[in-house]
Amino acid sequence: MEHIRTPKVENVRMIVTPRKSTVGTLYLSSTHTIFVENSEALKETWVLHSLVYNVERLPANSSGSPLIIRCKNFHVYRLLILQEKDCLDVLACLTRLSRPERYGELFCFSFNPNLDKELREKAWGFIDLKAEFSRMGIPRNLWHVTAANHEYRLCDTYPSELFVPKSASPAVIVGSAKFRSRGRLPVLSYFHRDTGASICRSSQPLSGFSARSSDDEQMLQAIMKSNPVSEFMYVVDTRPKLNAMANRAAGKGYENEDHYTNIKLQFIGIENIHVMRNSQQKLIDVGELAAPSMSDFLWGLENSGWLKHIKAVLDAGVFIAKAVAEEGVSVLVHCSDGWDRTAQACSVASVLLDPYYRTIKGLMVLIEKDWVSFGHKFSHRYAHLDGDPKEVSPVMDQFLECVWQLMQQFPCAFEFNERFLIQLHTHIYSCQYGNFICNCQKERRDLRLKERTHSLWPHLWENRAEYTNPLYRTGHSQTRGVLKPLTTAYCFNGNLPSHSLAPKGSQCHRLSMLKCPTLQQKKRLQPGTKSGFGLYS
Amino acid sequence: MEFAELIKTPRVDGVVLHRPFMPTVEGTLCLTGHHLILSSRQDNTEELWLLHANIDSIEKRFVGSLGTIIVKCKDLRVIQLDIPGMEECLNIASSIEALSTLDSVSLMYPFFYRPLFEVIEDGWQLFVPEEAFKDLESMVLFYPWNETTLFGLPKEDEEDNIALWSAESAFTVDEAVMMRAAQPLTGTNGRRCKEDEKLINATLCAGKRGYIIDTRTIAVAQQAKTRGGGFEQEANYPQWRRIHKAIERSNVLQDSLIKLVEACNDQSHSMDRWLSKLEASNWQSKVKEILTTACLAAQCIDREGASVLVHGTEGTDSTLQVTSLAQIILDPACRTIRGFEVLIEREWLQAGHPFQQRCAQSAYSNGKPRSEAPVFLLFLDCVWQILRQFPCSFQFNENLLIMFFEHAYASQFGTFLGNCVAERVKLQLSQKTVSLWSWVNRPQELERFLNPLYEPNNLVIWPSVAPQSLLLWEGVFLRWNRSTKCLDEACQEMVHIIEYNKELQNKVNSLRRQLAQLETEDSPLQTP
Repeated sequence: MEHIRTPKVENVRMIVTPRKSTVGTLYLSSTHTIFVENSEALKETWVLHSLVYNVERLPANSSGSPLIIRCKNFHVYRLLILQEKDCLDVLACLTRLSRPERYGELFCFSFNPNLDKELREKAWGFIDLKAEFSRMGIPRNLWHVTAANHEYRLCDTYPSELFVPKSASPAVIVGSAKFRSRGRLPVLSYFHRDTGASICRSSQPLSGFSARSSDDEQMLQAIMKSNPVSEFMYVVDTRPKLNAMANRAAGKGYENEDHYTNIKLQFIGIENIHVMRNSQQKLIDVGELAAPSMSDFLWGLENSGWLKHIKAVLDAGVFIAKAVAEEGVSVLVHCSDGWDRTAQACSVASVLLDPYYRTIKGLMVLIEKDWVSFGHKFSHRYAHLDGDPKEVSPVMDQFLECVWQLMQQFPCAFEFNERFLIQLHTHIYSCQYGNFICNCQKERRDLRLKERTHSLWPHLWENRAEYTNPLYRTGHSQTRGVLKPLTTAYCFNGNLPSHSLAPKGSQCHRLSMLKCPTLQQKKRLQPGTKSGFGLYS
Repeated sequence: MEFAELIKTPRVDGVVLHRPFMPTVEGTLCLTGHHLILSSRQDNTEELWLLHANIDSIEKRFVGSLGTIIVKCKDLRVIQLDIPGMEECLNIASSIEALSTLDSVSLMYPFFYRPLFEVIEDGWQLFVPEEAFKDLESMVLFYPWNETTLFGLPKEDEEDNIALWSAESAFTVDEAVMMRAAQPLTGTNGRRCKEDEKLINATLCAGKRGYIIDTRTIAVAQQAKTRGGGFEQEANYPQWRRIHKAIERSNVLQDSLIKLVEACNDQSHSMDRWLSKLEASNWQSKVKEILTTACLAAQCIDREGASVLVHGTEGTDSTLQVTSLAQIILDPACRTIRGFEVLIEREWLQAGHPFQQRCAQSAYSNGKPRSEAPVFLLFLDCVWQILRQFPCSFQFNENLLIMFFEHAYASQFGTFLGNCVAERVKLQLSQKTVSLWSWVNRPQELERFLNPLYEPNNLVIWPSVAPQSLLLWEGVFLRWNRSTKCLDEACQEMVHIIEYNKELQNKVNSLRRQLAQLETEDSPLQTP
């Protein structure tokens, strides 16, 4: 509370559209900014501090001082505060509160949904990755869990339990880890039961211009051989070839096809986090244009490059899925560190390959596996703490958009709807639950997150009726088998999901109503406002 | 003239048909006076029946003695025919070329077509103008076919009088009307016409204001003066305020369509190239312009209760786009199938949109454009945009719009032949051809066009015209460039859910009735 100088400002005007605005009172709590309309309905708008991306004060004019609050989920709130002093106070306070300096300041540590200890523990067990790996049907004679990363000794950004080929000796495992950036050795991410081919992931090898490691070479050989029917494997480097080559000068790089037997190297060309960050910023700028013409919009869309990058990520997924399902060839995926582009490519491929990941629970499992457990740096990428702005990048946004693009092409294939993706997106940034805090499992364990915070998954699961796609039906042909999307440029719908946040699709909405009478009743009972986190006030 | 003269080779065996996303078919190619037919002579494979009138252009190629004809259709489909034998191929190509560019209207297929269905409701008798305006009492209607002046051909000031129509009854509630006209013929020296001023001013009650929406920019309207046209001087029409909007003239549209379809047909485009081609085609900008102007017209009527007069140059292109879209926004009746048919009949066919000229060629025309322009297609695209934004407010679905697009360009029915009512009367279409409405309104056909989500909505529906709300009409422009299997399945799924829900509703209702019955039967027993 020490940062809140002015907890309450009256007669604040919230500008909804240039012609529509409401007057009310602004409250600042330690976790939220709350705007309460003066109208009889006392409509409330809650804005979580951790969702605030930036706060901008415009020069004061005769009617007051304008303040713009931009959120990480693309909501923009425009306020007009009568006294300049109040405006400055709110600005200073929000600026500080939206940039926590320590994990302890995050909302998840104070958020209390009144669950007892036992329920909280049970909630954290809702997603079980061990169960997931056994669901995949991994043949125990070919793959096993290695103890090599016990206590994160081998790689501190990986989970402690890793699936590796049974034929790889402990020495090979350790040797391979030593030859990979940050010790992120090749391990199993997904096993495709139908063909026996697998998707493995790693970071780039430390090959430089001439270095080699026989352990790493043997590791890849072991992965290839754990798919008995195939004679070679793909190594997919998701970076543009030029970037990969540049890394050689720093003693890193990519696999030399002469040293590794029977590998085929494939570059995909997904750009790095800096390019993606700039691309999204340009896209947001397009969204903020006042009364843009069609040309302004299309030009801006093209210039942002956003859809080009989405296409690149999807293309990577399509390549991997095709190799695994149609050619029956295993794939090792890596980029530089193997926690951004690699996570994107592996998880998009998994969604295409396995109908389970197209269910509500399945997508949670996939995110838990490919992103949370394998050390995607959530706190850095989504700016949970005040830190290096160059570490921030919309990596997960892009994955969710890829899924959304697939939903446009296969409307019956997904159990969840657009609202589910939007909710996930919000919580990746919100810091309300502990799931996405920190950058890897080890950090989470050290912070004892499971004891001190709550898990998002059971909360979403309880409300799954709201996130269910009415067109999804088990047994429908689209809910089975591998998805083969078209990735021709014109197939990408320029109607961007992340930037038109209000879940539109009244079509989808009406069908949900028909399919789920309880939901319909619920909606009738709680008419009107849908405001942020009002439930927990 | 005998069609046989044009058909040099009526039949070729061993022709292979390639269509995107479909298996190739090998079979016999036959040419008739109006159709290109390919049949594999096997029961299970689909045959191709293509109206010559649907063919926009063809290309031929030869590899050795194997000839290939690429047929580009007005509905934007592109198919390929591999024809063995160079002579056969050349003959077929020249026949197609001749048969698809017949000059005489009376040789068109509608004059030869005999329906295989029984005409229950004759579409030619369906829409009588008095009907559409029956709720307007103070209005005197002008019947273009009774006048000596041909409707749709601008001639002196009568043009204004004749083209004066009013909107639907719905708008007369607040005594606001929507009218359309051609430009007044003021010329450079500011000619006036007392009758026109009287007529226009007479539509407004004392103290009421009206808006004249000129679909041209002020610069274009000024220019029109040099050719004898012009716009209303405010001093002469004191109760009216004039607003200029920038809807492109029809000749620019054709170029835009050609560019758009070219972009859509190239699958090798990178994302950057695709987006820049989409932008350069300018098609989406036109959708936005027209919808914006239609919203403005609707707003004047709905928000201000003001009357609106819309005109461009001749009042047969952009004017009709604006007035018909404004009515879809304002009037729920226009969002039903019957109401939409009435709208097309009244605001397009009877208003004298020159269908035959505008739809003579489509996106693959390679000659010098004459008067063709996708004015009607652009209107349908705008309707689709509104339909997409209000998916439950229309009784019909996208298929109806696509069907209108197809039939406007090539059809077995006579409805879209001719350029105005007078021409249609002269051609005796109602006696010699079958009306599109006779076919569409049969229950078996209608089923295909029904929107399962329809829930009548009596409100005015305001579409968003922000660029990100307006999408490419995939159903038309990407129709032949991707498989729609998954999307079709989604529609079926939707229908299933709704049917199932109806079934359950019925069950609930009958159980409720039973319960009520049982309660009334039981109640005397329960009371002691």
